[in-house]
Amino acid sequence: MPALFVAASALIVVNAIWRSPGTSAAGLAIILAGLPLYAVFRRKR
Amino acid sequence: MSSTVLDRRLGPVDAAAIIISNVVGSGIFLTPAVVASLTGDAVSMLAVWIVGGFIAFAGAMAYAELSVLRPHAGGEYVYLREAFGPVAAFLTGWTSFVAGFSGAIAASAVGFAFYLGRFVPAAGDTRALVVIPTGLLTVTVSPQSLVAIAAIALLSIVHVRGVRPGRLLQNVLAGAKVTGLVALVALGFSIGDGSWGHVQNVQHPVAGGFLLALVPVMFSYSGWNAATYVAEEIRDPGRFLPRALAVGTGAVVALYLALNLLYVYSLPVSELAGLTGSVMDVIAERLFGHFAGNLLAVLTAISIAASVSAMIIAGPRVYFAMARDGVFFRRAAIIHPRYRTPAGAILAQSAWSCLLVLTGSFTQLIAYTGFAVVLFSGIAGVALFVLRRDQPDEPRGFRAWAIR
Repeated sequence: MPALFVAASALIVVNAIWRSPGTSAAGLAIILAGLPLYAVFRRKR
Repeated sequence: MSSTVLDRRLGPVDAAAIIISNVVGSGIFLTPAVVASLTGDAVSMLAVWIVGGFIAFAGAMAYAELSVLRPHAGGEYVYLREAFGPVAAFLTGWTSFVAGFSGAIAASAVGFAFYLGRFVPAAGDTRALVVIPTGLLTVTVSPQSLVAIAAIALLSIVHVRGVRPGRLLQNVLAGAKVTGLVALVALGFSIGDGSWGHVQNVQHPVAGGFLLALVPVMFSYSGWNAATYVAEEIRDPGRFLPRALAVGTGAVVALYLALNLLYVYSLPVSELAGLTGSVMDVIAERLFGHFAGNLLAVLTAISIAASVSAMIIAGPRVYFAMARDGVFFRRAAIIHPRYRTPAGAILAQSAWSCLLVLTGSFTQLIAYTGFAVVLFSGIAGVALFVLRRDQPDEPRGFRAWAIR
């Protein structure tokens, strides 16, 4: 069951990126924008 | 304030109610038209929902194993941290805060104000009262945005003021939503003006449409993992978490299949495919006549309110877990000394969601990061295999069926 779930998720994500590369790239940029904030929190800790 | 651990006060019914409320929002009222246009055939359309439901259930079982292994607040934030380290975990938590939960709360709250506008026209009024350009984004205050903000604030206050009033509200809203939808399905099939001929009339399925249709269907099922965010507050998690995930997800799948069957019973798929906006509005009018419109608006408003409430419960548990690890604003780790809730995290999410309502930027955020919901839950599925490999001897109270 978990393997099926992982495979289906991968298929859906690849499909979304394939169909809308620009939108997905913008989404990826938003996700990665968290990295500098992560560095700030780590330094403060 | 000394404790950094939340109290276990939720039972399996509470957890299942959170799942049902989180999943069944406005998606099931909007997505079926897209699915109909991609499949072009009633049987294929229903088959996509069955396959999607099976995938969601498989995911729920994978999360059941993970949540029993690590019954802490935060859901996939915890699983990614354990399997892949703090950076991967932070990115899923960050995405949940900036867009995943907050964007969905903002969108749903605006939807709630829209439906409330059917009864109180001012609530749905989008005319700008105040416009403040702030460079990149423009803050627009309208009666509709004020109602949406009031809904977010009110529900946030209830969930700050204790798990007991929060779960009571959640269970009542979830119960009303499920009762309303089940009644609608039952009445639709018994007295509604539909035809089984629509289901039996098999057209030529659209080539490749099945896989494409799976994408919106899986988005409509998203939220089946909601109970894992509150794992730290569930009594006897080894027993109750798998039960809540199975029952909650199973109930949603059954409800979605019944609703889709009702859709194709009342309209031919070709007509269903051409609908824009809420499919449910058209279906109810077709089945019961014009008088059903207002009743349905009430049901939709309740459904959306339940969804917002569930997200206000689930999301903050992620930021709370992050803050407890020192990778989020320190105040988000505060547990209210009297109410024993992650008050700081709830208020942070509430404030950000309200800002998204005022700037209207939630639409783009959701569109951009929509795939991340599936991406991170898929990575959490991989985490299950990583943890099985790295920690094979750790006791597992629940094991999802899988190839080792």
